[in-house]
Amino acid sequence: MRKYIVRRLVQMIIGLFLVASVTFLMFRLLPGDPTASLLDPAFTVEIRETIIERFGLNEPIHVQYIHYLQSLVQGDFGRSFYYRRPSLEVLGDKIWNTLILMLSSMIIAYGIGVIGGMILSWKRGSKIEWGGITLGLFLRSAPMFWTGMLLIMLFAFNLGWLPHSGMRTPGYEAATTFAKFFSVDFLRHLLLPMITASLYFLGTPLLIMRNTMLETHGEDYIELSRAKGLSEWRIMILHAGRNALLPVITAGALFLGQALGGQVVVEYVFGWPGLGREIVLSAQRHDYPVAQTAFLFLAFMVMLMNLVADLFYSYLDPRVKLK
Amino acid sequence: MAVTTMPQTKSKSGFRRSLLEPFLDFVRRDRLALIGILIIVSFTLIAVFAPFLAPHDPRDMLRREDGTLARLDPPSLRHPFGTTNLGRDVFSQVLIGTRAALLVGFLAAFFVTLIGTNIGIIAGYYGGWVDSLLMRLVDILYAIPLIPFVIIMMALVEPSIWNVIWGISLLTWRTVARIIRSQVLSVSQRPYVKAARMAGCSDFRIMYYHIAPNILPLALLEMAFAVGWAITAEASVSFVGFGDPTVISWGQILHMVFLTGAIRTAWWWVIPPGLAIALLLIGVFFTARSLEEVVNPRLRRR
Amino acid sequence: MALLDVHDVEVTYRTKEGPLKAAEYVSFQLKKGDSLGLIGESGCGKSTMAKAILRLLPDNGQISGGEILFQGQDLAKLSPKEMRKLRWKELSLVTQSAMNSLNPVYTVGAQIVEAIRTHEAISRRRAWERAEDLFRLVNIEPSHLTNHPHELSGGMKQRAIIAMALCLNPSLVIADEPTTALDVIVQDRILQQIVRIQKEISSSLIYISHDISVIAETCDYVVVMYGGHVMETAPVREFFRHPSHPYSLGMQNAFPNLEDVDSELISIPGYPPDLLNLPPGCRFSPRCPFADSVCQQKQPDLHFIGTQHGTRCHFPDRAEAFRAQAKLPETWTERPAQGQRGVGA
Repeated sequence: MRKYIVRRLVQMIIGLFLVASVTFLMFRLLPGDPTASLLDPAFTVEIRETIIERFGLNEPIHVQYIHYLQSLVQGDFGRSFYYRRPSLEVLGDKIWNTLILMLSSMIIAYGIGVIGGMILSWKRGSKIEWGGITLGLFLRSAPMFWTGMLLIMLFAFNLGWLPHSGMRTPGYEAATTFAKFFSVDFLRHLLLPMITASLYFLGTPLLIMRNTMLETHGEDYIELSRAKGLSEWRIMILHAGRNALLPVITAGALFLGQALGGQVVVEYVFGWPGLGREIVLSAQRHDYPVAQTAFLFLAFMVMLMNLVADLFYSYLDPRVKLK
Repeated sequence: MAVTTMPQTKSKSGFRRSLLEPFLDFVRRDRLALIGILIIVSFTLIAVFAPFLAPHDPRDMLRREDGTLARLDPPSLRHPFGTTNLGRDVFSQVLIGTRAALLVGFLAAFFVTLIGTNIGIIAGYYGGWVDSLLMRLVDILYAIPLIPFVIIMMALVEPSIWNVIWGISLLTWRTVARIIRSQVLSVSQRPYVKAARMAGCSDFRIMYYHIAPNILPLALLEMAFAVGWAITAEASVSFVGFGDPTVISWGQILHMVFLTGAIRTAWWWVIPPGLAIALLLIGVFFTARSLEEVVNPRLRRR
Repeated sequence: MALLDVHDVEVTYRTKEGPLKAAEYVSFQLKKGDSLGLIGESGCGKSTMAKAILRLLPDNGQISGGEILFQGQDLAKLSPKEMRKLRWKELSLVTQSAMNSLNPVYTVGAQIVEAIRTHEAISRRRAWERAEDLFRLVNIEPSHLTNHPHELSGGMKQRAIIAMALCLNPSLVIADEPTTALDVIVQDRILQQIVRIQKEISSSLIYISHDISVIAETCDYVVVMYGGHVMETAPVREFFRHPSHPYSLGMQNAFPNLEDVDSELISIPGYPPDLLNLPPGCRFSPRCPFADSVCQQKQPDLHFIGTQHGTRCHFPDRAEAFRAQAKLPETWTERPAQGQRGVGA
């Protein structure tokens, strides 16, 4: 098991290296000023040229590439044009904010989705099934930023129950780290974006779980479970459910990448200070070092979550031997 | 044995029979599929006839009877969906926006399917290092989240609608490739493929005359889903302001509402464009879901 | 009183093309401790009967007629809850493909313990101990209880299923082709175990198979089914000495005879009946070499020609003559008189 994790981490590093290369290419080779991603437009022409000389920006592309990789390995992710601080510093907190929002919405979405999918499959052909499928498909169709706006319109502006943006009320000082994330103020701010994201994510596990449960229904061991006189609930959850869950987890791992991307718009709508929102803002500001770094971090998070999902899957399915 | 495998080697008539018939059969029975197709057809008609259906030019800043700019007017007979903060007719905008959605949706889905299916066939058929190389590439692509990628691409190049389509296509083929590849792996094991190999058929012929027709249903299914992703991606990218400013798209309309802070009051400006996206996607998903039952018989009703 | 009295049972499936009678007028009895072999081709209705007795028919199937009296109760009329109480405790099932009958994500031991504890209030430890005893009974190392199904060989899985079927000492065990998926040597070993165990614990057994030699080894009685009907029923010795129904005669011919290695294998020409398109008369008439016009028009009743020996034929008294003629290959290759599907693709 340990060997497997080590090997996967090595694969991840290679993957990161490749993604970093793709990012390098994207930012350098696309039309537009190739030095724009490094030079602050506020610099004067002389300073620009000095910097170009010093950092070898006029050198051939493969030399630049090596420099790029070297600085990445040393933890130098560039300096934000906008914030005038190292990109790493700028993005540090934001990673956690994104993770909290994403994990909480995923957990709720998958919890409801899996249970809902199980129930839908058991109630084959009934109105509940039709209703459930339609609901699931609708949830997947309504774009997150739109439902976000609707929720803001209703709960923030119309009813005034919840704040419409941000992560905390300005001026609020948290006493401890615990209070930072578990205060009522924080939770009130978290509620709407989390609901928005959960609603969207919910559709996929709901429908996939229903599909896989239907496939599991016909299995011989389900028939034998009935012959053993087990209750329908037990069969549905412990026997069919446990087996049907496996493909949902696999699909979920793939879905994580999509979810992360989609979260960009949720963070944007709710002004949630996370990685996704920062990508949009930095792209708008042409603050390329930050945009580049944020992009890399997102990719890293996707890979990490895939690894976690794989480990979780192998725990659930005893047939899978991690090679 | 030979009798049963013949229809599949005669690819042209074979796949038409194996694809169209069950599909039509399903559409007749499955109410959701019918609704889905109706929705898609309606939207297509709207897109084609949009300029004639729209009561006003979507960019015109219109005036009320008293001559003032028709800012943020709630829905009325003149403006069924009200007006924007600059007096533009939301209804016309939504109608015209259909074109961008369908264009991006179908084109991107088409490219995605074209690229992904071919790569899937090549990887699955040749195996070995070709397969490893291509799948490694797919794995890397999987780590890159779609919407941030397109956003950054649009920030670096000119944000035109075609670049949006390319940006989406460049990444999304990864899913299709993987799914098609595993299907190709199993189809390659079938007797008639092995027979064709032994008979000396060229690789190209085997891949495209024997294997391809059998994975076509799956490819079309993936294409249906890809339409959904493409439309969502384009809307999201336009919403955060990186869409083509010269093209009216639903995402772009919502971008303007949000930017101007009009969501506090102008519900008529917010609801229709989003609803249009949701409806179109529902149509696509309903249809795709039924296609899924055709492709995977275990999901069918007994 | 018989432990199981199946009386005139009819099972109907609702299909797209209309109602399909998978079993009709099926009757047989079983006393405590006896074993009954249910034999026939695929689609003859034997598995349907097994499912009907256990009330495990799929959603589109139902018992449309008759009674299934088990220990005096009519199983066909019980509520799902009552049936669930009976299942496994009194009536258990050994299935055909142990490959798929065990849940892959749980250990075998856990699945047996689950079966035990669903019906009996005993501790997990005690249930586990019983599972160990059961494994010893079927000759598996008790340590294998902690294995997952995919870690066991085919033969071991099958024996595990048998052990599980016996865990509550049921009065009746239904074995649905339990050895079909195994290779011959393992098959033989398992058959011997089944016979031995059955004698030891005196459960009644219904053994379903399409292999007549297996039935010969394990059962006290034989019930032959074809096209959803019972064609012949007899004690096993009587059946092999004096088979009386033309179908049984054909079946016996189709299996190799170790004593007479040179004798030809004669198969019954034709195909099993299409249950949606049944002939009005005897279901076997299209393929029967002795069929007459009355056979094609009228369904025969089950006539009793000896103690507990019944045959569903219009000519039960000609059994002796049939037996002699059936041994000759020409009887089966020459087509009988009018319209039936015969030899050839």
